[in-house]
Amino acid sequence: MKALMWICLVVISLLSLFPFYIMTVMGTHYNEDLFKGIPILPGSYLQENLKTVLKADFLHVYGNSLIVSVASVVLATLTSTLIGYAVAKFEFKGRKWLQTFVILTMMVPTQVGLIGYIIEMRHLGVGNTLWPVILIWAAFPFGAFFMIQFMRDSIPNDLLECARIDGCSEPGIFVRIVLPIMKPGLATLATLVFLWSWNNYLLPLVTINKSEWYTLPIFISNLGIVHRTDYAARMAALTMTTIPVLILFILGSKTFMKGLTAGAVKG
Amino acid sequence: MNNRKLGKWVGGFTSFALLAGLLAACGGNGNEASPSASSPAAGGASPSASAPADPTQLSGTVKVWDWDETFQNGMIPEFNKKYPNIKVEVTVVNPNDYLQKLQSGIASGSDVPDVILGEEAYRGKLFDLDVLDNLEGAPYNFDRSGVLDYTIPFISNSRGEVVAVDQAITPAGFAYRRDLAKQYWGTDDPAELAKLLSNWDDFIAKGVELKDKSDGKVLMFPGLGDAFLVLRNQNTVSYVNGSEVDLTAKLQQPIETLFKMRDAGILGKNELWTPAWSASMAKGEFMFYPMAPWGPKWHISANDPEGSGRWGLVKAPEVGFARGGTAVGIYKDSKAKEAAWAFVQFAYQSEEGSLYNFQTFGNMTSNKEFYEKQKALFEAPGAYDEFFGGQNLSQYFLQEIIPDMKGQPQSKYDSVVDGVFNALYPLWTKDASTTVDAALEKFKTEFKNKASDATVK
Amino acid sequence: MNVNAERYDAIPAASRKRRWGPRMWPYLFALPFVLTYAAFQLYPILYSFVLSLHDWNGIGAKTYIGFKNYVQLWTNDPLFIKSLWNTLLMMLMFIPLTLILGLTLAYWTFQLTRGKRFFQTINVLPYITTPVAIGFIFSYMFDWQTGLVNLLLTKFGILEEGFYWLQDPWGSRAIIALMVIWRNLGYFMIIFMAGMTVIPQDVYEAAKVDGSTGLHTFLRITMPLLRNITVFLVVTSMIGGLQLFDEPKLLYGGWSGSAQVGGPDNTALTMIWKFVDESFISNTRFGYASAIAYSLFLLIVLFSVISYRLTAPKEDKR
Repeated sequence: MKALMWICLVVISLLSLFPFYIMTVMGTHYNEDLFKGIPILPGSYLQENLKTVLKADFLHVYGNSLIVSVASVVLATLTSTLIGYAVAKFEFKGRKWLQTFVILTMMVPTQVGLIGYIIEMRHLGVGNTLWPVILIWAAFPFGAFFMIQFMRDSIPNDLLECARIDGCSEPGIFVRIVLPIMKPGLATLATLVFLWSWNNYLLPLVTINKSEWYTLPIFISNLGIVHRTDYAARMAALTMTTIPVLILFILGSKTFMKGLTAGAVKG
Repeated sequence: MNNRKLGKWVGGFTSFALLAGLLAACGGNGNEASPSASSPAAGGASPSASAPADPTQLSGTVKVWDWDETFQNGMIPEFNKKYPNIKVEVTVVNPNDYLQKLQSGIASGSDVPDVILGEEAYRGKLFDLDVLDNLEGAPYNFDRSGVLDYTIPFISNSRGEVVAVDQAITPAGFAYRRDLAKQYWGTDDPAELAKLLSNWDDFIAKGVELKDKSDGKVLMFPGLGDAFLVLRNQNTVSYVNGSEVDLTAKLQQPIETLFKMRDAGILGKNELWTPAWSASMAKGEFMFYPMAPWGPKWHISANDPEGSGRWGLVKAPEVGFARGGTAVGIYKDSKAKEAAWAFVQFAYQSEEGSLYNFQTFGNMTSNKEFYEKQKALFEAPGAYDEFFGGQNLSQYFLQEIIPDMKGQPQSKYDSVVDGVFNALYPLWTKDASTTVDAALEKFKTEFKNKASDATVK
Repeated sequence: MNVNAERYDAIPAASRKRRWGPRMWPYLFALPFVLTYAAFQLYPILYSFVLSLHDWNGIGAKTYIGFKNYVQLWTNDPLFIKSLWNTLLMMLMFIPLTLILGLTLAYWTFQLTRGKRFFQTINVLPYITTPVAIGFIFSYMFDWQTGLVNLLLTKFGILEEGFYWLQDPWGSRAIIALMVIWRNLGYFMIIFMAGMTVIPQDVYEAAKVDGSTGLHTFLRITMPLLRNITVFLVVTSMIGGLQLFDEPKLLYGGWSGSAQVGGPDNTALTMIWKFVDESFISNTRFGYASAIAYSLFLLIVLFSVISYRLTAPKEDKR
């Protein structure tokens, strides 16, 4: 049984690794060579592709994406954690309604409010900046729902009661007791918001009209598109784009694992 | 008591925030309504001759959305040599997203460019959206007789007004493999080939000959897509009248010829632009690839880098066809119309601009005069002539292909036709038993699904 | 709860007014989310609804036509009904599989003494690899003439001739489902593992003492404790599934723009794809497209409620 488990894990891992590897390798080839067959071995065109990418102001755009994602993560985790705590761990009038509200907001398809959102952003005067792309994450329904469910599962009520009886203030409880327990959840949410805001394509496309404020996905779709598409250069850029997220996941997984010992929640 | 008050407070504050949000958005309600339909002729700008009197007097900022950053980076400094006080800002936009971005921008009243590009794929839709200014009125005063006659339908909207300028002309012929032609047909000379393939029936016959002699290893076109784009673009009949779409007139003949070719077995099974399709150029599996002046650099030599000398250019049977092409127009409500026109004119029509354009990028302008003034430029060898066995490509386009060209009136339904074809032709490739009538009927049904406001014949 | 009430009554009335008891805090905590939502997202939603009652192409004037868009959508638009059907079918193909596989993988990885983080990181790669690359790779692999899959199948004699995956109605759906499963496995793994992380070890120890092993432990101990996380994943999968768009679009998005919207004979057309098609590709009917978006919203509410009711724990959600 254990052997079977290992084999399955390895096979699936290889399947997961395969496309990522291919993407990296594709970035090292001459674009039209890619059409001759999926490359398994690295090519020799990496420098040229990198030149194409960097020539087009890649680093600046990278910075834009970083700003957007970091700000989005901060905003999203803040509001989501707070409301998650409220709904999951308190009894108050309107709790049920609030929970339904969160779930309802989660169900609104993202494309629904596109035009209206742009209009609103324009009226708020932040039309041609990075703010529209950041603010869309300020109230992140998935995040709120995730926090609600996660908190339900992971924070024992008696712990909170003890703290209250001990005279701890509510904010104090939140910061000193809840947050540490929530580390895995926080890490997960932060990483996901980072990822989603990093790869977001539609919103930046229609809200940002100045090339200098472009984020990475838009930038990449504009690489080498005169009369034919330079997939190789794009793959090189994509690989570089994926690195920060990968790093984040690697770091985050440390927290997921460390959180295991934080399971010392046995009062 | 405490929390009831708080509850009310929270409730009140939330409503306030809501209201604030609503008000902020509704504040400019008037502004986000449709742009005023200002008639260009009576526009506020003072009418002027097509070329401004003193270039240095013109100033302003012109916003351009283009996907070819290299072109803009090269052209703008040239432009500024003549018009030093006009600033041109470029935003790079992928042609696949162009219309979406443009419409969102106009719909939400945010940044709209002054210079708008319309690629073949969505050119008709762009024109029918009615956001481009009529260039024959003031302050542009464009003279339509100044451009090659056949190009006029490509830059006019359904009311017959010229609303754009061609970025470059794209008359097309077939790029063919000289070595294969020599091997199977005994000649690789373009003039002789043109005679052998003077009409489609001859073409099909020659295709069968090719198939037989090569044991099916070499066929005429890589797939139905290539053949159809030629046939469809050759049929330049005007098939749209308001919302009446006569698909039969536009498509019956092309589909008949297409299926004749398919049934004769001279077409490959590749879909356009797939990796296999691109790789086939070097492999020598197919004889012909539809090609316009942008083809040699971006298409043929890119995919067959070692194939120098084994390619040639021949015109299509019967009549010429256009492949690709981009129209450049000016936004109706632009605040910098004169400056924008100065740029557009310089880059795509003026002698200096077209000279730079051709020498640096290989783009051929639609301006008639240019070809007369710069005869020598085209008689000299071009950058890719050697790749094409020493054939003077520009001359061939100018002398053999352009005279046979006819223009196609543009309509928003062009892209629907395109889309339906792209959806259907793989199915026709897969199931070779579809008949012309069945295909046409299916086409009409699918078309109706996509364009529910049209009456289809 | 009783404790709080008693404590509260024990406080002299005078200081009650000044003290901010625990009663107020939930409202304060919930405020940031509600406010920001009201400020940034409510208006667009309302605007979109109003828009769906009009006919508008984004440029010209808006014409009020009441609910005509909805009527046409539900009674006279075969493509919309087809897209609804397609979306549901594909969801059925990938949601159960992803849940089961994700949970199994998470559990196995969790049990490992070494290499936990390694496997977790590798399996999350598909999720963070940009969809563009994935679409490219998949359409390449399943290409009729030169794709890896067909080459392997014909080489091993399973098939005579390459199967035209991308143009077969069920083939197209299967590939898309495969793309979604492959993409989301890592994500599900992470969520499940985060949930497993907070299960205290003594629960397992106690179970072991009671003689529970392997599968039994898994079914009776681990899964119930993952209930809420599972509910989260089921509901979010339904919501996300109904909005399926990226995978089909990238698979058929075409190389260099010759896109085949909807896949072969529209069998891969999803509702959001139809929405985008109506607004930007085949048409420019923003009002009609808004009606599609709103209908989708209602469907999402319906399906989410159903799936929540079916999977949430019976006792009142604490």
